[in-house]
Amino acid sequence: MKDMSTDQPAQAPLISARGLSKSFGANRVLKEVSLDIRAGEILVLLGPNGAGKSTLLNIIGGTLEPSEGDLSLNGQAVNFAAYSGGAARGQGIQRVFQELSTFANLTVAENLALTSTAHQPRGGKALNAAAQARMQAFPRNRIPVTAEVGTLSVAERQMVEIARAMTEPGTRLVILDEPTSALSAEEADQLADLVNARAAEGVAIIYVTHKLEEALRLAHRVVVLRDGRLHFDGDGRSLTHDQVLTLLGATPDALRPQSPAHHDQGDQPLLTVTGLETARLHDIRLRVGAGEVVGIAGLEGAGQRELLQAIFNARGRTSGKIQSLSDIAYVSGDRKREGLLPLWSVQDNVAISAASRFTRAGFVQFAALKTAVHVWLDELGLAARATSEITALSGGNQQRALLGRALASEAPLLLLDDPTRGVDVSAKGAIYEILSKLKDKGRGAILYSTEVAEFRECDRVYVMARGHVVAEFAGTEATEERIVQASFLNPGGERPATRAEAARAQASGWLSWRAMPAAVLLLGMFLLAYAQQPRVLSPFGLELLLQASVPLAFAAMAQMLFVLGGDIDLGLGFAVGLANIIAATFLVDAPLLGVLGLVALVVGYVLMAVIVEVLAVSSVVATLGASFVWLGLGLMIRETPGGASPDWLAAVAKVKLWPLPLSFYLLVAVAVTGFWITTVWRYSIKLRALGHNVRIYQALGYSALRGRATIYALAGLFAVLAGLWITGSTGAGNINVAASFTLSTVTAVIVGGASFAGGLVSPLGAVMAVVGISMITTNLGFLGVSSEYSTALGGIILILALSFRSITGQRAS
Amino acid sequence: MSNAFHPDHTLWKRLSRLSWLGALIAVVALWLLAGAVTGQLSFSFILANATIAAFLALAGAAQMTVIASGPGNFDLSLPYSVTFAAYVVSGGILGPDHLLASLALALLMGAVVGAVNALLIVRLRIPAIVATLASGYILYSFIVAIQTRGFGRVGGAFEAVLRLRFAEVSGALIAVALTLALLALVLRRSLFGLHLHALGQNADAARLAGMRSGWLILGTFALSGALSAWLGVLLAAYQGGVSADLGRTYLLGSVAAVVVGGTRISGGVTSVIGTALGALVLVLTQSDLVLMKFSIGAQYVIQGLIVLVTVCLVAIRPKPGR
Repeated sequence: MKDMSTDQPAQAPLISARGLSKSFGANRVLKEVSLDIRAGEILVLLGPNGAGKSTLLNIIGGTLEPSEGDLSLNGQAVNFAAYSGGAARGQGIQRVFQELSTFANLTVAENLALTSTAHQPRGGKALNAAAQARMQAFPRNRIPVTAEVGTLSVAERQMVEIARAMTEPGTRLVILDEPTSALSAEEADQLADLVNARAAEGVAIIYVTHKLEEALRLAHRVVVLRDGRLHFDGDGRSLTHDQVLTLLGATPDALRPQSPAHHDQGDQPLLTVTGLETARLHDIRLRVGAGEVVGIAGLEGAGQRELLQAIFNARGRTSGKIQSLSDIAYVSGDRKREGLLPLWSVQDNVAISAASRFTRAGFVQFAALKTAVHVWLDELGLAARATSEITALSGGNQQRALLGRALASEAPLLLLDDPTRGVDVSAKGAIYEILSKLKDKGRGAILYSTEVAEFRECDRVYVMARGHVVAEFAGTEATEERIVQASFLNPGGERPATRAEAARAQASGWLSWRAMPAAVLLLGMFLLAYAQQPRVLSPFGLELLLQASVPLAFAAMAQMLFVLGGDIDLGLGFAVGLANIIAATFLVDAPLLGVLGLVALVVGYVLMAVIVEVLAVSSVVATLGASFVWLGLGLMIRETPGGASPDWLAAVAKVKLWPLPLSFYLLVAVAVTGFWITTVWRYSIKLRALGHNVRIYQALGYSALRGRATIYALAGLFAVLAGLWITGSTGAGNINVAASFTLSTVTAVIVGGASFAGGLVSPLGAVMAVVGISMITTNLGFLGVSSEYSTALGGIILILALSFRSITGQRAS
Repeated sequence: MSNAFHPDHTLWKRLSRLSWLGALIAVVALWLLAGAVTGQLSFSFILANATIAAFLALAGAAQMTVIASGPGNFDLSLPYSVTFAAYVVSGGILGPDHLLASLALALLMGAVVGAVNALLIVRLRIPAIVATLASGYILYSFIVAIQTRGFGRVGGAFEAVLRLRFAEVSGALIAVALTLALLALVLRRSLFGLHLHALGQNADAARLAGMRSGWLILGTFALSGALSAWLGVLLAAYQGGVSADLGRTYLLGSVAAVVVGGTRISGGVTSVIGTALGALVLVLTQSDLVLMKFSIGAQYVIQGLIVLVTVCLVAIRPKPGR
């Protein structure tokens, strides 16, 4: 179908795609799509799930290379080898991802600044002011630009994501993928205004949506993809609702009359839900009888998945809001994340759910299990692929195997979470066939799908909107029109925006200061020491207390940088020892050699970054291996402690300052430097983003290798500084001098407020924790307790700090 | 894939799937190297090192069980569990006259430490590496406390049996071999083992397939803790003495043995044979280097490079099914 009325006055297209195709293995998801996009045009892209929309957008956005075809931007042919997400952004292509691509550990302002290619204002205040102005894309929004995105609601995150893409200067194309799935009606209206305004300024818009009203309201032009092909490309202003439904393949004659067969079996329900309330679900009531397939319809994100998860988690429970007499099996359409056991064969993937039935005295009877599983595999038509690796199968066959797993569990009730996602038509047919066999055997199922056409197979359909069940249709009542219409109902009035705000208000109190446990520890230790021995606060007393903390503080910064990147350095102690050995051995007699040696150590850290990032080796193993090397090199240079410190270094370590000892100023300087690296430095936003989520970071087109190499090099530098300080203050080299640093720095960094998941650290907290932990020993000495117990207290403090964080709701991991 | 046309290809594929093949080749090469250095090729070179390797293999197996339970899972409390159990079995708690009770207590305490780790991980959602670090610290203080109390040599029939040599094979080696065989049986054949491997590959998928992941983690860490304790018991009896540093080398060593054995460390995979061979490689390397009069420093450097190179090779090896 080709509507010729789109021919607009001669204007060179902004983007021109010719014959784009993409195959994943044997699966051809995009077939010879040609498309022109002009400046100032709002192009609405429609099509069922798996039609190839995301693939097309990924190619245009630079995150996917097509198998065939050409793309040109502004008349210039795109060289795909050099085209990335970053390059596309450089060309003025902005994208709003369906799976949000904001970083939860960064503030709203930082998220906006992260992807901006425009000149960045320096300093936090200017950054926040710029962000404030950009967020006015949504007038009257109540999103504080200084809040971490992790504290925002899904809708607010979506607004940040949209504002980020729509307000970037120099933008020529914005790709919006399901932008309103979480937005309220008012916010969606604001977005529509924004889209129209930007288009009027000459920005091209590609808008993907499942909401037909929205599509018709905005579209200058409508493009429909079906089955990977361009099915329709025409003027969107003259299309009616029904015409679009037809274009999407939802013709009324496709509806088959339903057989009301199993209604008599409904007396003994497999599942009853009465008045279920959770954060996202409100007053849910439903029941599933034996031999019944019940559909859960609604717009994406209306609470369907939450409902299925809640039901699954309550399996076997016979009291409460959810009652199920039976075991329940769960089949997810997100095969990679929630289904596949990627290292195993097809038969093992299926057998796992049946294994418990073939277990005697704890041991599995594999022969009997295999026989039973082969019966299921035969029925699924997968017998020939039984020993194939599951990852070698097509998406459709993988899904069949996962259905097989659910069937093999013999659970009477199946929860099907969008099971046909990304599966081709013939595989869908096979999946439906399995469903109908299941019904014949008296098992029940709940089917959640984002495609309305799927509910043809259901006996009854519940429609959800905003966490409520808003309609129930049985048998022939369940027409697609009715389901779609009910999906747009707006129960319970406006979305309560207060929840996220209340959580934010609570989190903004003093409890939210991540370094709080470290500060309490430090203060407590000082007070305790002062109570025992008031002279600890004299300059000399302070010097005694603090001087041991200096090298540990340097090392803690190194460890903190690793944790910032989501890694851990288990070789740090010996790296510091090696730096100490090199300094004490060479700096006096052969300074050049000494400096080269210290530089080589930093280079070694960069090499580790390459191993960790490029080969995806766990940092634990890489740094453990390196620790052997550091230890060995140290022993090779100097097997027994000895050597000397160069005079200048010893002099630096002995500098006397007024009124407080040198150690104090150094500790402050370390914390300030750490703060600069992790917060003030322009690159720091990217480093924190990288540490939080490498996948999104790379999808945005940034080099993770460069970021990680920077982090490791800086960490190596701090390790060298720690080693130098030890040399200066002890006047000797000893490979074992800092062996305990490895684990004590991890403790200090975590107690100091870092999240082990990466991207969230507190340099000040780490330094406070270093001092606080080292003072435990001093205080035990005052109290006359053996100092050996200080390690136990360190462990307990670590656990307390993490418990404190999980109680106050901060992200501990 | 038509195997008929590519018989060699299939054979190669099958061999390349034996993750521990590289370690086996390395063992043979190290044996030959020792033969070349000393001028006589004798199997007793391997047997002489096998007992020390067995202890390392046992530590590696305990670590491997934890590593298999999920990406990023490591047990840093392992060396302290080893040392603690050694003190307990030496009568550090019950006194020197209750060997059997002390032995049972040592193993029980190992399992309890593992269970505490699991509790921290599951209940408080603390990452495994931090949870085990914290519990290791606490355990260290117990060790210090117990050290000051009376304890003695385990001695008696237990020590005699472990030190007994049947055709150059020590009793301790046999004890470890039996333990590892039992562990392999549990990992390969039991429902727990099956579920553990599934959990380690994909925790979400395992949960949605109906597994109780919290209990699995509990079982995994308790098993690992008990294995570490058993190693401590064997070491205390075999060496005839205990020191606070007894377990220290096993932190790096246990991970190294798993890595050098060729086992993927991102979860879901175990190989008892691989880990045993990995431990043997590390110990034989050290023996060869001593024979060749390398300094202790060079020995460490070479062992470290072996770990780094193997982990890189394992990472770039094409994964099955691709």
